[in-house]
Amino acid sequence: MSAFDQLIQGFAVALSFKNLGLCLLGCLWGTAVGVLPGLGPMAGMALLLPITFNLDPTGGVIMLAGIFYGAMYGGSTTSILLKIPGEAASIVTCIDGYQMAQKGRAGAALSIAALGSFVGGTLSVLGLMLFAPYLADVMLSVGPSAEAVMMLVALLIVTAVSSSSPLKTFIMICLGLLVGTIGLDAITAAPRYMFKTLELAEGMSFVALAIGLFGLSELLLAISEGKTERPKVPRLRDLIPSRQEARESVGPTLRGSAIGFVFGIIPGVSHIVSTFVSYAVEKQISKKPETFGHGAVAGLAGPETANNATTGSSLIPLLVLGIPAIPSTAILLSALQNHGVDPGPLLMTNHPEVFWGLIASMYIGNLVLVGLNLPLVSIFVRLLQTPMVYLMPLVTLICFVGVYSVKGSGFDIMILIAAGLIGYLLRQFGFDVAPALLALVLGDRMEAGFRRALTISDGDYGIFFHGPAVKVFWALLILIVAVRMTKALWPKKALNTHAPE
Amino acid sequence: MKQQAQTSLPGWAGEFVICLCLAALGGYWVKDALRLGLGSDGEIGAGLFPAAVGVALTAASLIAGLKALLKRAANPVVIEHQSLWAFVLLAIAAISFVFLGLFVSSFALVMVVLRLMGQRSMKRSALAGLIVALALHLLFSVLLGLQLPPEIWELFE
Repeated sequence: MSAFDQLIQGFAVALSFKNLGLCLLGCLWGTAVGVLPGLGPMAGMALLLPITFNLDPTGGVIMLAGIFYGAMYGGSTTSILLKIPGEAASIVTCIDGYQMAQKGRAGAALSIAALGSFVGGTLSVLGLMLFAPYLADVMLSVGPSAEAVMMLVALLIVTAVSSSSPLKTFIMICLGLLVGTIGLDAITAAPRYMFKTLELAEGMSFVALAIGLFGLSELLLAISEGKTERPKVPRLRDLIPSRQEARESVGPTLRGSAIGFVFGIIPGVSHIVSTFVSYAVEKQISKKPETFGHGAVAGLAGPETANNATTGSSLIPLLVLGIPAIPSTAILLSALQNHGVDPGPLLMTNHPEVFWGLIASMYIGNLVLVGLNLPLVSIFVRLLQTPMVYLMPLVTLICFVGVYSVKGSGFDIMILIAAGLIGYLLRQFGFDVAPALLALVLGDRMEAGFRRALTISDGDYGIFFHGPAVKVFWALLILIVAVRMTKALWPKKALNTHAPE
Repeated sequence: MKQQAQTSLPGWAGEFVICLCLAALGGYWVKDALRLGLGSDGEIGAGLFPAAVGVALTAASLIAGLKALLKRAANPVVIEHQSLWAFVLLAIAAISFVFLGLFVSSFALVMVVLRLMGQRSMKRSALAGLIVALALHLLFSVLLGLQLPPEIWELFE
């Protein structure tokens, strides 16, 4: 049976009344948790995981996948309107999306984000369907040395995106890597920098740090700047982007789809990295790089598309290899295993209804989400149109609940508060905290790759220069450095005169 | 939060202090990494990676601190006292959330913020606090059954 025939059968499964309802429920819940700061896709999926135990595996996985990509969609709303990322992958959306909203283009920004998400999500599902078996093989061949260099490339890319100076960005990257080493050593189980605190055995909570550094510090800055205005609800006619905005978003949307798809296959924090990479690419190739950070359409469309394009491809390692690429897909794995369905190469033959039903439901889900995010955006925004005096304590309390509910740890709440103050001070003095967060999540894998490679080579650092994959990543790294040096040595006149700090 | 007071600090001084703190942090990381052990050929110690990162952080922070000190750019950074008071409020709310539960902390936080932000009626502030506390309790605790700190009435059971 051809892939097309199987897809048709998948649509028959996904379009059943029950599965359609579950897809809609998942998308609605996902958008809501994505909109509300402090609750991300993982928390949203974890909350409804127990419900899937009473469903058949196809229905359960369809609902969870709906939450997963629904949260990716919803995360952009708070980023654009309040500069508070609903989930980690929306950090980049805050940069230009919020600036567009400040210029009265909130409606257009939300539309561009929603349409970009739709295109990215749909194309990545198409890619998942066509390339799943082949692409997974390629990524499996990447060894630990290449993985370590790949992480280095990802971090280097961050320096190009950050709003602070390269030196300050480097300091923040080091700080993120440093915090990432806290906890029991993954190989020797030796306690590292735990200060005799058991709560730190698994490392610092990423959720607490992320919400503290971004959410709480933003609240403190908002008070400092006297920012007490409400987010404006865009009218339906404001949702239509201007012709120029639409034209400017086409290229970034297509490039974002490709970047998101490729990065989605890489296990780790692909959806976060892909947004940074997309932003960096758009900024590099833009004729007006000085507009980035001040409401550039490309700076919104590219990353938001890339973010959603990872949802399809991040399922490739899970469905084809049984390896969850990101924590959210680990919940999908758990749901499938609870029903005795083991994802892997045999999934397509043993449980075709699950594989193709999920793919078909993702096509449907992406359509449902455009229906939710465009006409109903004002309803979601109304959730947030609470005056600052109410919003402040509400956001704070939701942050507390979001952080506490992950591990039930009061210690994480203290980390959240401390991170809020540190984030506020760092940002006041021109240190961008986003690179620290990215380094924190990449640090584990970078160290693991670094140590495994050195163990294999008996301590020979030459291993980091051998192998085709390693060479490709080094070439990429050199290219990035060369481009940055060229720009530093021969800056454009426009950059000299108008470039913001 | 009616205070309009603010403290203006020279930006370079703040940067310099932050860089010094970060350099010290990096130094501490290196010191402890040496205790953990850097390992030998074929057996990489748990301290090698933190040591490398610590050295990089210390070096970069010292350079950045030195640059800030030499440049002494006139870019004053204004720290609003409101923000610091808000932080104190959030910290108290966090402690009450952990020890007294969501209901009490949300009631108290909403009420206090409303009073500070100019809501003159105590009754109105208390009512708003009660509504928010009830709504959050119903949503997160009753409907979603999230893992939350014990509420104050559970402490007496």
